[in-house]
Amino acid sequence: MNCLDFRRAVLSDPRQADGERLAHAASCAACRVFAERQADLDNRLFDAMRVEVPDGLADRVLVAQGPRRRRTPWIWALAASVVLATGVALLVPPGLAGERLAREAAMHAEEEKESFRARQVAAPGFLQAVLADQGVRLAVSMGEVTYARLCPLAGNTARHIVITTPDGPVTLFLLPTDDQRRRRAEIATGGMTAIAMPAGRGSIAIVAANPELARALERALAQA
Amino acid sequence: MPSDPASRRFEQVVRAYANDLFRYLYWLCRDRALAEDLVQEAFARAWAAWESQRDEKAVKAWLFTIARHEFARLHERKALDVDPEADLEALVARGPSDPSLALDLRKAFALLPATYRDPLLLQVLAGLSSVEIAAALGTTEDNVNARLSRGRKALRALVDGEPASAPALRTNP
Repeated sequence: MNCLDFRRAVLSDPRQADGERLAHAASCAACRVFAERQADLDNRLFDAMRVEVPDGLADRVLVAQGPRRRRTPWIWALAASVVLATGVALLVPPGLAGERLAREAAMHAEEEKESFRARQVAAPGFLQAVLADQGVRLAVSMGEVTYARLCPLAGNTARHIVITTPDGPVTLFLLPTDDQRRRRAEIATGGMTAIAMPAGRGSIAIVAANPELARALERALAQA
Repeated sequence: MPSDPASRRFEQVVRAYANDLFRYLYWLCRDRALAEDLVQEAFARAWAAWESQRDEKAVKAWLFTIARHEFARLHERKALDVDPEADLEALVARGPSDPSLALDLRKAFALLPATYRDPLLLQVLAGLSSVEIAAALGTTEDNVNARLSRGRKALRALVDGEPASAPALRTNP
């Protein structure tokens, strides 16, 4: 892959990080900077796109669909909208969905090794802002953000964040638009521990070489 | 609570995707009330065709395709009066995280022609692949990649006030 191919690929999808791209970025400083700038722009673009949604939109959709639904009285839909206030797709069992996300997160972190070497400087308040967007907060400071970009993960656009702590790096994936209902799952694979769990909105995955570090970040994350 | 599996699953899908469909449609039409109407129409059509939707993994791309068709149908009926500056201040005040980080980008993104804005929304906001975007837009994957690339270049130029930086290229592998 040459510089032209690399930049064309980055402009088409900065979230992808396959072997060829990583190898080129490792050997070409100018293209590495180009990719980092583009990833930063996409991060900001993701924020810009997420305009506020009218309150109760899903409830209104369900009520409007009520009379047209074939076997379900509309009032049931309204009742369900209250009961399932945070309900999301049940496409696979929640436990399995959690384990799947944990496994994909661990694989992604492993494949994107440059994330551990990067020393990006996040804007002040960046981590608090993206966590608030996810509906969670960090109860205690863990370290500094040294890597942040958008990545494709589990069919979603995820924020891939590395926090460098005194005990080593820990990777955090935020999936604010994840539709799956995922029960907490913890797996060990390839020398990494990965935890997936539901968040205020969507899901979160944590990956670290040290299981205690992954669990410490999990404990530090609280509902906003 | 809905008793049959189809109704239950439909409700779960509405809750999972209504917000992002609204955001997608908002950025296509730049009108919050119209975007909500289009969300309603999109889900009405989705429910009408619910039994035909068997691929659970593809439901997200399917919904965004329906939403886009709803927008296109409306566009055919009347020319939309799209003002890129319309209610921008109000939107920024309601921003999701740190509006100051996104203000300039929102303005710039709103200025992008729809042909570039649309695939960027489907990739960045919805998380769809190039193949899924191509299917939603009724075009080829190459065309989608070209539009994504040009859209990002244009966005960079708008945000930076200059073309995207292009340090010396190495053309050999």
